[in-house]
This record gives sequence, C-alpha cells and structure tokens, in this order.
Amino acid sequence: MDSDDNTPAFGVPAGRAVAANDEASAEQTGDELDPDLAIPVKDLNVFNAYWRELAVIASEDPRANTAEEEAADDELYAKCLAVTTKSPAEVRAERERARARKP
Amino acid sequence: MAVAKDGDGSDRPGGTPPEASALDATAASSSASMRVHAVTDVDSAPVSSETVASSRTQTYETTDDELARALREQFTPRVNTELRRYAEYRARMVRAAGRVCPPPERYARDLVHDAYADTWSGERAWDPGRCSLVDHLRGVIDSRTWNEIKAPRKHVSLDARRIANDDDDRVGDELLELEDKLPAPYADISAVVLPALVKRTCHALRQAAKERDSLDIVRAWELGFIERDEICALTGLDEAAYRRARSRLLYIAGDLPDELRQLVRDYLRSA
Repeated sequence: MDSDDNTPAFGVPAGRAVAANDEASAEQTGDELDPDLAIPVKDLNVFNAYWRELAVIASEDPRANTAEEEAADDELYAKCLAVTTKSPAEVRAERERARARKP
Repeated sequence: MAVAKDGDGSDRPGGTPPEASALDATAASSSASMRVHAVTDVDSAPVSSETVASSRTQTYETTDDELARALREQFTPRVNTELRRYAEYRARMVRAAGRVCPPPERYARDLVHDAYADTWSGERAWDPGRCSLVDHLRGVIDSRTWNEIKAPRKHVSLDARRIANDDDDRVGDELLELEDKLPAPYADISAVVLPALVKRTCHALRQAAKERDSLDIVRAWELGFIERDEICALTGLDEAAYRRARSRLLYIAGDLPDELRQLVRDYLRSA
C-alpha cells in the first residue's frame, strides 16, 4: 500500500485511525503473499516490526556495558573511526574486495 | 504524517526508492516498513563506484570533509554502543530465521562497521541535514539483515553461502563444520524455520493483543508501519500509551528463541 493512501487517516481521533484503515488495508494486505517467501506480507511486516522493537529496546537500555562488552565496543569504535582516515575510494575498494571473497 | 526516513535520510512517503532492492516487490505492494528500508543491499547488488561517488556530491552536495566531520561528530562511543546493541538483535533475527551466521555478538560488530564504512564510501548515501547518523545506520543495518532473510532460498544451502560477514573468512569454516554435522538432505533449514517462526510470532502477538492499544499497534505493524512516531500518529496513541502497550505485547510474546529451538528439533526429527 502506498503511504499516500494513508494520508486521510492521520489526524483522525485517537484510536480510530487504524480502524478507519481496516477495510482498505485488509484488501491490500490480507492474503497477499510475499513472492519470494510465500508468506503473508502482513505477517512478515509483523515479524520484522517485532524484532525491530526488540532491537530498539536493547539499544535504549541504559545499563552500562560489561567489561567485556566495553572492550569490544572500544575496538569497534576505533575500527570505525579509522575508516574515515582513508579516502572513500579506498574504503569502497576494500569493501568490494571483501564482497568478492564471498562465494 | 510522520515521514519515513530511509537509510539515506530521504523522506519517502510513498515515492520510488532511489535504488533497487530485494525488498521492492514487497514495498510496492503494501509495506511501509519495506519502503522505509528499501535501499540497496550492497552485499547483493553492488553499485558502480562512479555512480555512487557522483550521487553523493550531486544529490546532497556534501563534500568528503563535511561528511567526515558529521560522521566523527555524531559517531560517539555511546552511539557506537547503541548501534551494536541494536545490531545484535537484528543479527539474532537472522539467526532465528534459520540462516547460518556468526554469533550475534560478532555479526553485530560487522554490521555496524560495514554500515559505517559503506556510508563513508558513499555506497550508502547519507544526508546529515535530513536524518541523524543513528537513524541512517539503523536503516542500513535493517535493510541488510532483512535482505539476508529475504535472500532467495532455492539456490542456498548451508555449505554454499556465507552470511554477510565480509571481513571474516572464519565463517566459511564454521559452515563447513556445521555441514559435516548434518545429513545431506538438510539443504536449507531456513525454508522451514522462517515460515513457522513467522507464523508463531504473529500468533503469539495477536493472542497478546487483547486490549485496544495493543491491537492497534499490531494492526499498524501489519500495514508496515514500524517507526514509533508514525505508529503514534496512525493510532492516536501518545508515547506513554504506546510504550505500555508495546511492553505488554513483547512481554507476553517473548521467549521465542526457545520455541525456535523446538521447531528445529521437530523439523530434524520429522525430515
């Protein structure tokens, strides 16, 4: 469904927006299967959203790293910063070589 | 309407994504979430360097110096940790879907590094004026992990394909070890695991969605909305109500990895 189709629903009083969309959305996502996986698109959307929420919650966890995580994060941080000491072309070439090693 | 941000920071409320994607077929049909992350997976569809290099300067007029400065300013140690934690759950999703991949902790670090490197190289265009680095890199990680799940399965076998872990050849050894432990017919366990896992996940979430707020969130997810702002706009929930309903949903529907293990055992027993 194109997101433009949802435009009228926004601004609808609380709790009504989704219901207002139900009829149209059911037609468009109800039984539609993903062409690659043969799984209902709406189910894939829910699956993706569920895992994304878990990821968001994990990323917002205020707890400090363990010592082991901190060391690994320090290493990752330095590795990422080192990327910008190279030119974009160099990095691109490195990434292409890395991808080429994949079967 | 809260505007969906792509990995390149483009506002994309239904327009055509600038790059082709393995998600396009889904995006074209109904999924806002697929549109949100409908950017090219550079690991499956490399872009020519010339095109990439020119697209960044022509589209956003961002010089290398400006981009480097923005990257350094926004990529703080805290952001690094948040992204690594985020990527770990995306990595767990790939693993839960039955894809052979490195341990989530290691895979997550690769995802963060590669997203950062692809942004600096211009393969994943980012406009600092339009979205934060965190949002951009999350989008890159989302699309790469989702493409990994969506990768065509008919040509895939446990021994034939390394996960998108570009910089570590050890993964190949792990796959070969795993292959040695499996009888020949188990060509692609994800073909069985993913549909079953998706079905169980959706069933658990829909069972959990007894109250109206939770039900609205699940319905919004079905339609492909995943960003908190857009779900709140769509449903009329305020952020506090959204968080409460989401917490109830995730709490009730939790513990799926155990179920996954049972699924795998069932599959191996019946095959």
